[in-house]
Amino acid sequence: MDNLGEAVQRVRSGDTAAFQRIVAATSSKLVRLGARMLGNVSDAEDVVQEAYVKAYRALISGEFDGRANVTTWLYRIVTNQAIDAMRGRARRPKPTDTADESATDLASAEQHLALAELSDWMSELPPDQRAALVLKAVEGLTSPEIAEILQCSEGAVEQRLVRARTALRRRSETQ
Amino acid sequence: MSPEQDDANDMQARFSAFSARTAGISARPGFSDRVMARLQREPASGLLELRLPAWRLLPVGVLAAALALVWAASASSDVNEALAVGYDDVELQW
Repeated sequence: MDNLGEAVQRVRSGDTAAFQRIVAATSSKLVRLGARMLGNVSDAEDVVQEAYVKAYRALISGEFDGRANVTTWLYRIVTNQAIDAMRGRARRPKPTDTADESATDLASAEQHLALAELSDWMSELPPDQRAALVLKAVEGLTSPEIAEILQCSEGAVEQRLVRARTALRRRSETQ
Repeated sequence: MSPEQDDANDMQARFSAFSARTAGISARPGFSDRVMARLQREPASGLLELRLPAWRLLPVGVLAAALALVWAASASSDVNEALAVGYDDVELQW
């Protein structure tokens, strides 16, 4: 159990304010993960907010027993939400301007440019392959960790990674 | 080194560069407050808060229901008496 275990137990016993400690400790890395998958901070915040709501409901209802690592569990919820958002986005027409309003300074502008480039590079990949690739190559997680987050076997993770890399290689060759 | 390995290394180097360039990304100011405000609107938490007073009011509710039942029975009995026909006053006519 990570050091958020105590906050989890307090939320489970009805202390809503204790959830703020979980949000404060995890929101930066979760929004970063979401932004790397979705290509912008605004969509990432929406996804992470919904993920927190789901997590809160699961804690209150006792669905999450607190034995697993809280951060890994939150990574799983955010990844699933991001995959759903990518699928939803694929069904809807792309907006003409996805620029983020928060890109006010130079460092922020560079970060948003990098997100846009990353998103464009992976745009042809199916959401599950894109998620696996971000978790592995950008977040630096191991295959067992990714398998736990995506709730599949390590073999399935490796298969998604091979397919994703092959698709990216083909794309580079055709350009 | 084979061309495939070169490709794989190039790809990993590109991902590593993206990782470094996006490492400073975090939630915007006020995000935590927005999440907590959203949670305050959660029906689940409201329901939980309502449950405790509801349990405290349960004995009062049971007593009120019992009194209502007694009153209903007594009122029903009065009505029955008012409507009752005195059979000994009725003469049978053939």
